[in-house]
Amino acid sequence: MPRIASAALGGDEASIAADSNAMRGTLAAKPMQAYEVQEIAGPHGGVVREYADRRGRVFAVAWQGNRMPDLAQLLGTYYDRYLAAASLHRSGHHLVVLRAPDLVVSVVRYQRSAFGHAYLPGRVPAGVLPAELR
Amino acid sequence: MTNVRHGVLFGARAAMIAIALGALASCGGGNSGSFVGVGGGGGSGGGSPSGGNGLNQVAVTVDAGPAAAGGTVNTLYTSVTLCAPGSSTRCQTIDHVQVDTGSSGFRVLASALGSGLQSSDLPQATDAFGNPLDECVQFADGYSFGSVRSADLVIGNETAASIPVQVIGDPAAGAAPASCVQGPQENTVATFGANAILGIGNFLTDCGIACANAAIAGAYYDCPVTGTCTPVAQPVSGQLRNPVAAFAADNNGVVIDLPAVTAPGATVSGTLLFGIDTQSDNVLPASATIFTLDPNYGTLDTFFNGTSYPSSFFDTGSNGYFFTDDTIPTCTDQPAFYCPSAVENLQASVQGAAGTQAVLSFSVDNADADFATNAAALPNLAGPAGTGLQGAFDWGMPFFYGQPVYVAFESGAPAGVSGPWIGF
Repeated sequence: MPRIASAALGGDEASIAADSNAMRGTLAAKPMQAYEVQEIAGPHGGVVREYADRRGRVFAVAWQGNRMPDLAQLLGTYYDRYLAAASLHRSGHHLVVLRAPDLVVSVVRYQRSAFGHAYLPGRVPAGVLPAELR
Repeated sequence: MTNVRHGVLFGARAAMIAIALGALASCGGGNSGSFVGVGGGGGSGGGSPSGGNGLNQVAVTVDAGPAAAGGTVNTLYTSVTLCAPGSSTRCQTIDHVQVDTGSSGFRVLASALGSGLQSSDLPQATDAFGNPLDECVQFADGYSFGSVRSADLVIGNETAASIPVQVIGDPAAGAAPASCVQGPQENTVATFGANAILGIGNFLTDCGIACANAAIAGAYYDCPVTGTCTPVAQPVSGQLRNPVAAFAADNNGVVIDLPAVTAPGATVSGTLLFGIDTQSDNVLPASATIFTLDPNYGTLDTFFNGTSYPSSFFDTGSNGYFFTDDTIPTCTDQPAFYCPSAVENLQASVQGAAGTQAVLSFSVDNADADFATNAAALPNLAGPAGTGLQGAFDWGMPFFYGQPVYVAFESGAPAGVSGPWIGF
């Protein structure tokens, strides 16, 4: 499997290890039926979860904590799409939501909380509901 | 970047009607009880708080925002006078300061200074190494970087003396370090959407103990005069401070008091009151319910359509209701908002950490039609939220129209209930 240095979302499982390293986090894997969840506990109490399908492709990421994670690292090649949506400044400083047929991104930053998720609807395994991707 | 428009352009109504959930509304936390909020009306004037000496108030407005921002919607502004510490002459009154219950601390755009007050009039804060202290703030929609300086803030008739503030885009601070960069840069009025932001959320400082215990990227930076900026731990006492908490009195919370808005309107005028139960004009009504918040995050639980959203929040810094309902279509041209073909009348229930609950009714109308009105106050503006790890229902500005909302700070206990809490 090629080693991809970044790009969790849309990347392969090697990118999860890269994310874990970049975030100086610790990894824990939890196999599910249709996908595998890798949980990265960050250095400041936050947690990042990355969801890989049976072929190892990351189809979703989610995060929760007091501080923002490195979105460029987490979103990989999709970061520019977030950047474009955020640049519209549609809904204030505390929420950015991007909904497109191929990509959903939600970024929330409110008081001392920071959480959100991103997923690729076309790559979510059959039978998996977006609401599971928490 | 082209044509940045904050909160987009503009839009119809149904006041927020809060319905008491009688039996459930009193399971904990003090001043609970039923409440019926508020419809009808329109115009200006505001809800119930009245009386008092009037010294603990300042006018607030929803309008199209500073010209450079290109038209904002559902964004709450006030004016703040910023002075060099101890000075009554080196001062500048700044208009279109965004009133934000979703953050803590005062941040001013460097480009908004210069008529009466220069950023260099404000003493630069230093860190534990004696070097200049700068700060990065990472919002959901971008980042801002600038110096931390000491200033007096006069808001209405109250003063926060010599508190740390951020001067965003301060040339003395230079470019943001790479670890601050996250999303678009917001170092100008055009990209920030306001001349300054007045963060009066539940927390006394912007970061708290986390930034005192560790050097965290994206927060405080040690910026030696020569050399690069690196993250630095910053004691709580030197962090950006909630200005209201720094007042000599009326410092345990705020009340946001806006009139009901029943249709898109060009402007809304209301009042921001300082303190809770400290004057006759800021007494929490017996009919109000207190919802205690998570002390680490400032959030509470919302139940909507059978799903729990435990990271929910009430926020003047959000310009709509943002929540998940896949049965409502998003607008084709701007999927950040909902565009139902007819007004949707909905209900959700909120639950505080101490167990108090209430059912809230709200309405969602077509955002494209809203924006076509070019109005700044859009009482039924809404859009989708994501779920994230936990999920959130964002009760933004439309919720605040038509009922006073009480925001109690951490560490205090207004009305006998320990903060942080929100009440209405």
